[in-house]
Amino acid sequence: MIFICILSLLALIFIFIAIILLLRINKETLSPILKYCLLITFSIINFVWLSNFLEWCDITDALDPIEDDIEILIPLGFFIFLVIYVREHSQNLIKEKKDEYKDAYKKVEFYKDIFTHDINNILQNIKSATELMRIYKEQKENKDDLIKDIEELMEIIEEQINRGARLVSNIRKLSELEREPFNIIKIEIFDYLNSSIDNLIKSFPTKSININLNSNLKSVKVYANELLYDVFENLLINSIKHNVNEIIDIEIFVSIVFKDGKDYVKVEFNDNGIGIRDDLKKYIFNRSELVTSSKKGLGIGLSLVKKIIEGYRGEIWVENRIKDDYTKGSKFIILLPKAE
Amino acid sequence: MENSELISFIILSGVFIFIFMNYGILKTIISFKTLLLSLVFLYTALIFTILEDYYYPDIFNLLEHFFNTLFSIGILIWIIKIRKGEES
Repeated sequence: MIFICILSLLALIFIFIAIILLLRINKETLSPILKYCLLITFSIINFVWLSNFLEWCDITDALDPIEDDIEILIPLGFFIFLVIYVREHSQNLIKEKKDEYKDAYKKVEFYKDIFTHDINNILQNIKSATELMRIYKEQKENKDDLIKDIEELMEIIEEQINRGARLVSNIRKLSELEREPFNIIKIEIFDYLNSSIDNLIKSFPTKSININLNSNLKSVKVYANELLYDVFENLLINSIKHNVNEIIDIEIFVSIVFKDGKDYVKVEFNDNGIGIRDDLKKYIFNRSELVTSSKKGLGIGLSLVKKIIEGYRGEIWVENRIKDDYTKGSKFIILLPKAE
Repeated sequence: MENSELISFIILSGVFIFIFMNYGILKTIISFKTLLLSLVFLYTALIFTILEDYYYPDIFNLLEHFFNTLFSIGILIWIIKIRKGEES
């Protein structure tokens, strides 16, 4: 008898402690409805066992009739708890699936937009150039003029083919980034910057490009990977593509900044291009947002850049080169986590 | 045998059928195995409660209380594990 009394008392104490601990569990771990369901169930258990304890210890059996009535609520409480949990979990699962479906739909629209707009645009430009060639061939009598005009048109065709190739390459990289996890290593930022600048100048031999790299630092490492080359290349190409000046000026500044308790390498790209309207600034890094809007026509280069920078846990944003006058050019700023 | 004991036994059997049918979802409950083990102890205690009305009342009564205590320990461990998961 004493042994049973001790067991009952221990069981009572354990459930009582469980009730106190349960009260301190926050709603992120256990939803309020689940928490109260358990609290009621545990309280009933304690009541039933208290009644048993009092009875076995010959103190009183006054609680016995109520105990018999509410005893069935113990398994019922657990049953309700499990049913609610399954229901909540299923609802969350449905919500996740809905979000996934929305994302997938957005992506499909995004790629559809690229093919219907950008690729079509490139093909249209090539078609126009070849038509012009045919017209020049029939109309121009001076051979030198004809050769000069055809060379110009060939240049346009070549530029459009390069644009198409860049677009396809960027789409491939963007879709790979969405699929695969990011591998981050320590890399020397100046190696990538210098290599991007050299390649860029070689890619645009007919343009007068003046790129200055300014920094007090001789060497600095960041947490990134080989895709950093695509980041710099896309930003530099952007500065050249959207520039109507005879001489394209690009100033690059590299410095170290301290933000939110961490060291970052700040890279600024200042250009003298046509600039970006304020209403477009928030969209340029997310081409898919533009799919349903009227602000179409931006490449996916910057979407890729943002995706890569986010993968490095860095930041990217754009400002006017001259404050309050977007027509004087843009300033793209990147923050990359500095490696020790 | 009291009616409430039989009803509790039937409902708890239903709980196990429900767990079996929805195990894929329910296993996502923090430390679900501890909760499941506790429920098994409660189920065993209920079986002994029913048996004590027919055979060896003293032994089965003792076993009933012993398994009830095991159930309460299991529940306490389960709640502690949830709290620990929250803290980490």
